Amino acid sequence: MLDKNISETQFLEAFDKYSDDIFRYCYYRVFDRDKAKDIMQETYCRTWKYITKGNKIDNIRAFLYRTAKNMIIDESRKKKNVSLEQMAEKGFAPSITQPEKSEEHFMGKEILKIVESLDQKYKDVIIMRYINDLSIKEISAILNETENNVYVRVSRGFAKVKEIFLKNQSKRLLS
Amino acid sequence: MESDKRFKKLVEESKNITLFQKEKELIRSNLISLIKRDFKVQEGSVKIPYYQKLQWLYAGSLSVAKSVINNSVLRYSLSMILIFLFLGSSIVFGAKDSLPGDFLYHVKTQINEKVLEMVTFSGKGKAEYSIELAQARLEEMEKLAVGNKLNDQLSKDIKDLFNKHMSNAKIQMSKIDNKDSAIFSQINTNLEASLNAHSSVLKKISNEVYEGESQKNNIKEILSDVDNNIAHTESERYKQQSKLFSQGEDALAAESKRSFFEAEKEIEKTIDFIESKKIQVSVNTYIESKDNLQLAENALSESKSELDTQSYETSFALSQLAGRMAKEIRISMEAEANLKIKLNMPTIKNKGKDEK
Repeated sequence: MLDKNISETQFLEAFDKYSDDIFRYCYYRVFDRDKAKDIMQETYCRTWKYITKGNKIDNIRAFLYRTAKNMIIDESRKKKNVSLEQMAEKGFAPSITQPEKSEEHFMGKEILKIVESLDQKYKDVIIMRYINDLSIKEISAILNETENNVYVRVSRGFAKVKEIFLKNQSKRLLS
Repeated sequence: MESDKRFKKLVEESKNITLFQKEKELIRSNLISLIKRDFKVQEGSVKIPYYQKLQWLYAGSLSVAKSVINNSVLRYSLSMILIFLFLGSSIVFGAKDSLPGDFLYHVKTQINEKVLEMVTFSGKGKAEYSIELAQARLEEMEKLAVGNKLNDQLSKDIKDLFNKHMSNAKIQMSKIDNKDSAIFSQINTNLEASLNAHSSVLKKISNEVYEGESQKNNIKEILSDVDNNIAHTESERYKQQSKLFSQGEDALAAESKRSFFEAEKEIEKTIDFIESKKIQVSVNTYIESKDNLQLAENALSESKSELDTQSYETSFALSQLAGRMAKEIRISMEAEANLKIKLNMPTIKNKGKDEK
């Protein structure tokens, strides 16, 4: 049997600890609960296969994010993501686990809209930093980029998010 | 300021997207199955994908077919073999439903069953097949007793065969136990459920249906063998449970969850089964089956509560009990449908927590 640097128990612990985060990351990238669930499950299956082949993983959390990210890219190459407007036409509504008061429900949709309208280069860092609470260091390990680069992208991305948010606010007030 | 607050709220709101607990548990159990499967593959049993086997078979068959078509002697021989096989297969097929004392019964036990045994290779397959044969002997005894055809000789033949199958099953199961205790537990649970169900069927037949004294004794003799085997499966179950309970918390938690989902599936299967057999059994049996299923569901729901409070040992014992109950209900209903007699359904015993 090949030596594994991550045991079955550690792997299952990583599932218990990070599965919700990976799922949430996928959800905000593909805007589809079922698809996000499938990608999350497949992420863990692929990671386990990688471990059983004797490959070494230093940071399992970063590895899981990277695998999920690559799968999302593959997925979008196969089929271009459906926009929120298209989904609304099909009767799709984002599902939120908390009790859905109309205001909160609206905001859940709003964040999806904001994320969708961001440039591709900002999407990942914004989801990881503000929705999944990852540190700059962790994001840089996942994206394999310098901390400086990540920091700059997070700052610019955040400025964009606020800009879109304020624009939406004023539109709503005027209407 | 107001917009800042709103923005913060919006960001916080975005974090509420999580998996539902049930979804998470299901994916986790899928991963555990994947881990277990990989272990088996790594331990040496490299499997050839079925499509590769088919390709090989296809290529081989094609070359044989070509040589037969080009050779008249071979063509003639093949025709004779086909005629022989056709006649032979009719006999073999006819023997399938024969009972002890019938002309074709020896074909069934000495040819059909032995051939099938020879083509079963894995330890698990061999154990399950031996159990299947042991069950078949009990069903034959039930049918003969209800038809008033059970004499001393037939009873002795069935009893000997039953004990032979059971001892083969035990040999195979002890080999499995050394390699994979999870598979052992699964087979042992199925066996226990089946023996319990057949024991109640035989008791019912012995007490109410059949009237001849010597035949009653014949049934009692085999019942004593069945009950001894039930005691054996029970003690094996306790041993397996102690082994499991002495393992780490993680292994126990994973096994308890797996057992819970298995029991849930068994109950779902039984719900459909009860409805599908509704018209083949008496109204009382239908109602009793539903009542017993309710008890099994209660045990499962208790198992869930214990699982939530991380009392894994109790949860495991309760879900195992629920699963066995569901299986017993199906076997007993099937027996009544086949024999057309009213049977006492197995009743759940409140021993889940004691089973630890």
